[in-house]
Amino acid sequence: MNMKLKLARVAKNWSQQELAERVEVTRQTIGLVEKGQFNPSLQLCIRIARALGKTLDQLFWEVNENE
Amino acid sequence: MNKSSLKLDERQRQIVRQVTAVMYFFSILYLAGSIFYREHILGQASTEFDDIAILLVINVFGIGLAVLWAGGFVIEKFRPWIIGIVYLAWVVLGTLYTVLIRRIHDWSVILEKVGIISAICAIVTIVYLGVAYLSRRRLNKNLE
Repeated sequence: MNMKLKLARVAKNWSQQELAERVEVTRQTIGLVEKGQFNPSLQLCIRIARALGKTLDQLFWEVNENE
Repeated sequence: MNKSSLKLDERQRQIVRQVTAVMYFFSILYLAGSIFYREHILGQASTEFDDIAILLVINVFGIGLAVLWAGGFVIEKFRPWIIGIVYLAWVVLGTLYTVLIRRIHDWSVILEKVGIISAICAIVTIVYLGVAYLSRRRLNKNLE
Protein backbone atom coordinates (compact mmCIF):
# COMPACT_ATOMS: atom_id res chain seq x y z
CA MET A 1 0.00 0.00 0.00
CA ASN A 2 1.38 3.41 -0.99
CA MET A 3 0.46 5.50 2.04
CA LYS A 4 2.82 8.32 1.03
CA LEU A 5 0.85 8.94 -2.13
CA LYS A 6 -2.46 8.81 -0.30
CA LEU A 7 -1.20 11.18 2.43
CA ALA A 8 0.15 13.63 -0.13
CA ARG A 9 -3.16 13.60 -1.98
CA VAL A 10 -5.20 14.04 1.21
CA ALA A 11 -2.88 16.86 2.32
CA LYS A 12 -3.86 18.69 -0.86
CA ASN A 13 -7.47 17.94 -0.03
CA TRP A 14 -7.95 16.23 -3.37
CA SER A 15 -10.14 13.24 -4.07
CA GLN A 16 -8.79 10.36 -6.15
CA GLN A 17 -10.94 11.67 -8.99
CA GLU A 18 -9.35 15.13 -8.84
CA LEU A 19 -5.82 13.72 -8.91
CA ALA A 20 -6.81 11.34 -11.67
CA GLU A 21 -8.09 14.20 -13.82
CA ARG A 22 -4.91 16.22 -13.26
CA VAL A 23 -2.65 13.36 -14.38
CA GLU A 24 -5.06 12.17 -17.09
CA VAL A 25 -5.81 8.66 -15.84
CA THR A 26 -8.92 7.04 -14.42
CA ARG A 27 -9.87 7.17 -10.73
CA GLN A 28 -9.48 3.40 -10.58
CA THR A 29 -5.86 3.69 -11.67
CA ILE A 30 -5.07 6.12 -8.85
CA GLY A 31 -6.91 3.88 -6.40
CA LEU A 32 -4.94 0.83 -7.50
CA VAL A 33 -1.62 2.72 -7.33
CA GLU A 34 -2.47 3.77 -3.77
CA LYS A 35 -3.37 0.19 -2.88
CA GLY A 36 -0.12 -1.03 -4.41
CA GLN A 37 -1.97 -3.20 -6.91
CA PHE A 38 -0.76 -1.42 -10.04
CA ASN A 39 2.80 -0.40 -10.85
CA PRO A 40 2.66 2.89 -12.74
CA SER A 41 5.16 3.75 -15.46
CA LEU A 42 7.93 6.23 -14.69
CA GLN A 43 6.12 8.84 -16.82
CA LEU A 44 2.97 8.47 -14.74
CA CYS A 45 4.97 8.60 -11.48
CA ILE A 46 6.52 11.87 -12.66
CA ARG A 47 3.11 13.30 -13.60
CA ILE A 48 1.69 12.36 -10.18
CA ALA A 49 4.73 13.78 -8.36
CA ARG A 50 4.52 17.05 -10.32
CA ALA A 51 0.78 17.36 -9.69
CA LEU A 52 1.27 16.87 -5.95
CA GLY A 53 4.39 19.09 -5.80
CA LYS A 54 6.56 16.24 -4.47
CA THR A 55 9.64 14.40 -5.66
CA LEU A 56 9.60 10.80 -6.81
CA ASP A 57 11.55 9.83 -3.68
CA GLN A 58 8.97 11.44 -1.42
CA LEU A 59 6.13 9.54 -3.03
CA PHE A 60 7.50 6.24 -4.23
CA TRP A 61 10.81 5.42 -2.58
CA GLU A 62 10.50 2.69 0.02
CA VAL A 63 13.17 2.89 2.71
CA ASN A 64 14.58 -0.50 3.61
CA GLU A 65 14.95 -0.92 7.38
CA ASN A 66 18.41 -2.44 6.87
CA GLU A 67 19.67 0.67 5.05
CA MET B 1 -19.76 10.33 -23.42
CA ASN B 2 -16.95 12.89 -23.55
CA LYS B 3 -13.68 12.50 -25.43
CA SER B 4 -11.56 11.80 -22.34
CA SER B 5 -13.73 8.84 -21.35
CA LEU B 6 -12.78 7.18 -24.63
CA LYS B 7 -9.06 7.66 -24.02
CA LEU B 8 -7.46 4.71 -22.25
CA ASP B 9 -4.83 5.28 -19.59
CA GLU B 10 -1.77 3.06 -19.28
CA ARG B 11 -3.41 0.59 -16.87
CA GLN B 12 -6.41 0.15 -19.17
CA ARG B 13 -4.16 -0.24 -22.21
CA GLN B 14 -2.14 -2.87 -20.34
CA ILE B 15 -5.32 -4.81 -19.51
CA VAL B 16 -6.61 -4.56 -23.09
CA ARG B 17 -3.25 -5.84 -24.40
CA GLN B 18 -3.16 -8.74 -21.95
CA VAL B 19 -6.73 -9.77 -22.68
CA THR B 20 -6.13 -9.45 -26.44
CA ALA B 21 -3.02 -11.63 -26.21
CA VAL B 22 -4.84 -14.30 -24.21
CA MET B 23 -7.83 -14.25 -26.57
CA TYR B 24 -5.50 -14.45 -29.57
CA PHE B 25 -3.90 -17.54 -28.04
CA PHE B 26 -7.34 -19.10 -27.51
CA SER B 27 -8.35 -18.25 -31.11
CA ILE B 28 -5.33 -20.16 -32.35
CA LEU B 29 -6.25 -23.08 -30.07
CA TYR B 30 -9.87 -23.01 -31.31
CA LEU B 31 -8.71 -23.07 -34.93
CA ALA B 32 -6.37 -25.99 -34.23
CA GLY B 33 -9.20 -27.70 -32.32
CA SER B 34 -11.60 -27.20 -35.22
CA ILE B 35 -9.12 -28.87 -37.58
CA PHE B 36 -8.81 -31.80 -35.18
CA TYR B 37 -12.61 -32.02 -34.79
CA ARG B 38 -13.30 -31.90 -38.50
CA GLU B 39 -10.69 -34.52 -39.30
CA HIS B 40 -11.18 -37.00 -36.45
CA ILE B 41 -14.83 -36.53 -35.41
CA LEU B 42 -16.50 -35.50 -38.65
CA GLY B 43 -14.09 -37.54 -40.76
CA GLN B 44 -13.58 -34.76 -43.32
CA ALA B 45 -10.70 -34.94 -45.77
CA SER B 46 -7.78 -32.64 -44.97
CA THR B 47 -8.39 -30.75 -48.22
CA GLU B 48 -11.70 -29.53 -46.75
CA PHE B 49 -9.97 -27.51 -44.03
CA ASP B 50 -6.77 -26.51 -45.77
CA ASP B 51 -8.00 -22.91 -45.63
CA ILE B 52 -8.03 -22.97 -41.82
CA ALA B 53 -4.62 -24.66 -41.74
CA ILE B 54 -3.17 -22.01 -44.07
CA LEU B 55 -4.65 -19.20 -41.95
CA LEU B 56 -3.18 -20.80 -38.83
CA VAL B 57 0.28 -21.05 -40.39
CA ILE B 58 0.16 -17.47 -41.68
CA ASN B 59 -0.98 -16.25 -38.24
CA VAL B 60 1.72 -18.08 -36.31
CA PHE B 61 4.36 -17.09 -38.88
CA GLY B 62 3.11 -13.49 -38.75
CA ILE B 63 3.24 -13.20 -34.98
CA GLY B 64 6.83 -14.42 -34.98
CA LEU B 65 7.74 -11.82 -37.60
CA ALA B 66 5.90 -9.05 -35.74
CA VAL B 67 7.61 -9.87 -32.43
CA LEU B 68 11.01 -9.92 -34.11
CA TRP B 69 10.38 -6.67 -36.00
CA ALA B 70 9.04 -4.85 -32.94
CA GLY B 71 12.13 -5.84 -30.96
CA GLY B 72 10.33 -8.17 -28.57
CA PHE B 73 13.06 -10.72 -29.21
CA VAL B 74 16.47 -9.37 -30.17
CA ILE B 75 19.13 -11.72 -31.53
CA GLU B 76 22.46 -10.19 -30.50
CA LYS B 77 24.67 -12.82 -32.16
CA PHE B 78 23.69 -15.09 -35.02
CA ARG B 79 25.26 -18.38 -33.89
CA PRO B 80 25.08 -20.96 -36.71
CA TRP B 81 24.67 -23.94 -34.35
CA ILE B 82 21.66 -22.35 -32.60
CA ILE B 83 20.11 -21.49 -35.98
CA GLY B 84 20.74 -25.10 -37.05
CA ILE B 85 19.06 -26.50 -33.94
CA VAL B 86 16.02 -24.23 -34.35
CA TYR B 87 15.79 -25.20 -38.03
CA LEU B 88 16.01 -28.90 -37.22
CA ALA B 89 13.41 -28.56 -34.45
CA TRP B 90 11.00 -26.92 -36.91
CA VAL B 91 11.57 -29.67 -39.47
CA VAL B 92 11.04 -32.42 -36.85
CA LEU B 93 7.93 -30.76 -35.40
CA GLY B 94 6.50 -30.03 -38.86
CA THR B 95 7.11 -33.61 -39.97
CA LEU B 96 5.60 -35.09 -36.81
CA TYR B 97 2.55 -32.84 -37.13
CA THR B 98 2.05 -33.72 -40.80
CA VAL B 99 2.57 -37.46 -40.28
CA LEU B 100 0.25 -37.61 -37.28
CA ILE B 101 -2.51 -35.36 -38.65
CA ARG B 102 -2.56 -36.95 -42.10
CA ARG B 103 -1.94 -40.46 -40.73
CA ILE B 104 0.87 -41.21 -43.19
CA HIS B 105 2.47 -44.65 -42.84
CA ASP B 106 4.26 -44.98 -46.17
CA TRP B 107 7.98 -44.10 -45.77
CA SER B 108 8.31 -42.83 -49.33
CA VAL B 109 5.47 -40.35 -48.70
CA ILE B 110 7.02 -39.36 -45.35
CA LEU B 111 10.38 -38.68 -47.06
CA GLU B 112 8.63 -36.63 -49.71
CA LYS B 113 6.90 -34.60 -46.97
CA VAL B 114 10.23 -34.13 -45.14
CA GLY B 115 11.67 -32.66 -48.35
CA ILE B 116 8.79 -30.17 -48.67
CA ILE B 117 8.85 -29.28 -44.94
CA SER B 118 12.64 -28.81 -44.99
CA ALA B 119 12.34 -26.38 -47.90
CA ILE B 120 9.50 -24.42 -46.24
CA CYS B 121 11.39 -24.28 -42.91
CA ALA B 122 14.52 -23.09 -44.72
CA ILE B 123 12.57 -20.23 -46.31
CA VAL B 124 10.94 -19.37 -42.95
CA THR B 125 14.33 -19.44 -41.19
CA ILE B 126 15.92 -17.17 -43.80
CA VAL B 127 13.00 -14.70 -43.62
CA TYR B 128 13.12 -14.70 -39.79
CA LEU B 129 16.89 -14.16 -39.79
CA GLY B 130 16.53 -11.32 -42.28
CA VAL B 131 13.82 -9.61 -40.22
CA ALA B 132 15.79 -10.18 -36.99
CA TYR B 133 18.87 -8.58 -38.56
CA LEU B 134 16.94 -5.59 -39.96
CA SER B 135 15.08 -5.12 -36.66
CA ARG B 136 18.31 -5.16 -34.63
CA ARG B 137 19.89 -2.64 -37.02
CA ARG B 138 16.83 -0.38 -36.77
CA LEU B 139 16.79 -0.56 -32.96
CA ASN B 140 20.52 0.11 -32.65
CA LYS B 141 20.21 3.02 -35.08
CA ASN B 142 17.53 4.57 -32.86
CA LEU B 143 19.86 4.28 -29.84
CA GLU B 144 22.67 6.27 -31.42
